[in-house]
Amino acid sequence: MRPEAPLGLIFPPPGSGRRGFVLFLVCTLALVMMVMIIGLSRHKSGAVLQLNRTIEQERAVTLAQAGVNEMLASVKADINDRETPIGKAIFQLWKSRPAITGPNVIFNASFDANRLKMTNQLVEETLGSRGDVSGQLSLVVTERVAGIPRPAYLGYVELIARAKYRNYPTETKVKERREIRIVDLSDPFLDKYALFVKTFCRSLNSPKKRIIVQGVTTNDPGKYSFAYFGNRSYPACPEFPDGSKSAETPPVILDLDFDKDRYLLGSFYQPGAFRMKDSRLSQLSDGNLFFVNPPVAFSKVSGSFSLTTDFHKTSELVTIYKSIVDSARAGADQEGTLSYMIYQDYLKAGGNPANSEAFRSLVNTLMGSWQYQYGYTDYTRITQDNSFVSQHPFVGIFDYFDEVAKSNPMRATGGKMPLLFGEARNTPLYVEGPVFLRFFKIAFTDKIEVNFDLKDQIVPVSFPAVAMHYEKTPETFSGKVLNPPVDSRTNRLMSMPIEHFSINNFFFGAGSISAKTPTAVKGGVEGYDVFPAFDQSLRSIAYYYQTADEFIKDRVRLIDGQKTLDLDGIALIAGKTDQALDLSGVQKYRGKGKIILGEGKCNIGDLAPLKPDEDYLGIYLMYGRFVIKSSGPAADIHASLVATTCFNDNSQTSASAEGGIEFDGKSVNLLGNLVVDNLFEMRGMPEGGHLRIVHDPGLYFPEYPVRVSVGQTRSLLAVDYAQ
Amino acid sequence: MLNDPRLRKIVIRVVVVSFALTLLVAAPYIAKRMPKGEDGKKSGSKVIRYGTKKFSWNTGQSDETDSTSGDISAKQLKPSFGNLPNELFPGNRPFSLDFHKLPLDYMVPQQPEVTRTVLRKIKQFQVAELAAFEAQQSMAKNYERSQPNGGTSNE
Repeated sequence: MRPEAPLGLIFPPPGSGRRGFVLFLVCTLALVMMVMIIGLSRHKSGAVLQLNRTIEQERAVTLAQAGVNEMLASVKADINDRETPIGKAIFQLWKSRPAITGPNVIFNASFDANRLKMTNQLVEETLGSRGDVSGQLSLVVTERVAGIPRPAYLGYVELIARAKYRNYPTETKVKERREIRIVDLSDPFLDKYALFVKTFCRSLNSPKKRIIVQGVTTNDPGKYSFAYFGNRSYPACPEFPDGSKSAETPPVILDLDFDKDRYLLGSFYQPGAFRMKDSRLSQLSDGNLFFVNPPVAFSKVSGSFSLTTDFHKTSELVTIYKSIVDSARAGADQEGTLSYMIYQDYLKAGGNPANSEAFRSLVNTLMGSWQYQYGYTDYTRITQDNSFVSQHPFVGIFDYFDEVAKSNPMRATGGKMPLLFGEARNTPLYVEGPVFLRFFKIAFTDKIEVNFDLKDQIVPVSFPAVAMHYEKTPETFSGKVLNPPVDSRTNRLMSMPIEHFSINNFFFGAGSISAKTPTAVKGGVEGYDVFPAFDQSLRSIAYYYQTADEFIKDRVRLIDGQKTLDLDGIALIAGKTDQALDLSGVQKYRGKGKIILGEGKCNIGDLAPLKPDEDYLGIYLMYGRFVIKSSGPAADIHASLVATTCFNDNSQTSASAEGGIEFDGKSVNLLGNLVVDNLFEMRGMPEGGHLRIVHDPGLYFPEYPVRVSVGQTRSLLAVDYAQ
Repeated sequence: MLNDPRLRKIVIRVVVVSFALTLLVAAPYIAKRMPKGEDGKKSGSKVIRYGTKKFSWNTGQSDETDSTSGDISAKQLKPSFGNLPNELFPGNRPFSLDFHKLPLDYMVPQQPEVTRTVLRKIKQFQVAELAAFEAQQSMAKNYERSQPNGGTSNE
């Protein structure tokens, strides 16, 4: 405990020399303190005021920024809806497609405090009723991007928010700009195709892997879907030594399946059987022909032939003749007999039927009695097990297959043509490329019983039926051009393929031709040189990603618990060859957009829009393939899919670099369209699988294929503080 | 005989009058036989009958050789089939080949050179972005090295 000081030291008794000193000290100190306080107060009062003011200003800026954000949200929500005022302005711009010479304000709007409800609620919570926030929005178009089928427009949206305090006379303004891109996502040239395949596909006719195309149906007969089948990489063969680059264009042949395609044949579909002496053969032909011509007297065309040159190479006739000679040989030593005469004639002719009078007489007699018959069938009926054409006399068509096996094996393969006209075969589709229909004519002369007139001796003989063999170059009467013809459709007797009719004959009349190159009024490009329209300035691209993963992270959102692709204009992914854009886990998309992948595959499964009437998705793989990944047996995709690689010379490619679709054991139902380099023989498709393409009318004739993308970052931010 | 001017005058008058009368009598007949103009050929149908109208179509050949009207092309349809195409494919289908019904931008593809340019630009873009990324990383490393204690706080 501190000892207490004696009171006398503190307050010395009056009269001592140090009286009043402590009081003086206290007063002095108090005075100094007062001076200091006054000085400090005077010195710092401005800073405090300034601090206070700064706090208020920052608060105003924050509130104004909130206003900007609310306006921006409103812009993003409305700009792609053409029912809203701002959306209408965009729609008008798209419709009128004006030229742009400088900044052009196409839309203005004011936002008073009532329209910025959330911001002003924040103001209320922060300042009470001491202020409000209002704003203004301007949509400015600065540039038109040309060089694409339908122009894109670039510009910005300018948002100005004003925060006003009742206490301050001036207002705080925040101005923000964000770039906008107005793009028309349609590609009219390519969108009119339901299916576009550049490279020759030898399994187009596969009966176990079917391509089904359902074109658009409109009330306008001038509008229909298109398809293109190219012949790039057609295998080199004696008929086409340079493949697709040969002087003659290798055909893409589609085999009629008369049973299923009967609608296409119309009144020409008249199935029946040949009328033959042998009822067994007649029954055999029944159900295998879709048109049968009644027997025609051979004598009608016999004037077209020379007895000495046109028959001696026909194996059936030579066989008959030789059997006659052989039977005559036994009695040939008895002069004056028929056998003697036949054998002498044979010796005189040197064994050559062409020089034999007996042979000529035989042929002449046959021509007077033969009945020529023909009918039409298809590849399926010819190649099925125990086909009727394996029976004589229907075998004439095999010479065609023997011939093409050597000259062009591609012609020997076939099957059933893709269902290009829908499953009911009643929807027109214009097919481009060297595409021809094929079916077959089976012809023969039926067996006959004749009285063979041999130098005054009449011999009743039964002659078998003679097959009319296919001849690439006419060697016998079978392949010779008739004058006059048998009838309006037959000027050669032989069995033969009918493979020179354009597939377009079905819906576009008998005069239709097969157009080698895709549609173009003049100066069109070859099919292999067709690519999606692209803005080569790249300015219409709204999003750029280095990798597919970056894209997935940024554009795949969880909406209602479902992974959803959020589309907003054109997104370009540079990509890597070994990295796939994996959309197989995403089943929905919203918005309108096109994904362009520079390199890499795209895994895709079921994928559908949230709003089918409004949303749009196009995927363009510049160097990659679609790989179908679906949990079910078929993937249902609603999109426009393009996978085509651009080479230095697109007329020849290596299959490994081509874009296409790998079915990976799945079928595909595609609502949209498909453009690929190669179908790769549909090798991954399961047996009995299909690629069904329903051409989306919303793609072909889009009502409003426009997307406005608002930039993610500010291109300008300015703050005008209240003073 | 025609040396007599009066007689000559009468003969000329008779010839002129007979010609005029003949012309008058024959006028309706001549009018009927006159060749009809293009308008007269047009039918009410909007469907183009094949072989009646040429349309412009690219076949990759010169203008002289690619007159690809609806006429049967000897190259494509072998003459040996006679009337078969007409029987098989009656030309009265209600779908015309009048492609001009589609707007021009549906008919003209973009040239492949544009795609090649785009590919070059994307490649350049990719390289530039990669270079920028590497530069940024190397700057970050340099900054870390320049900091005392390996860039940690100096407290």
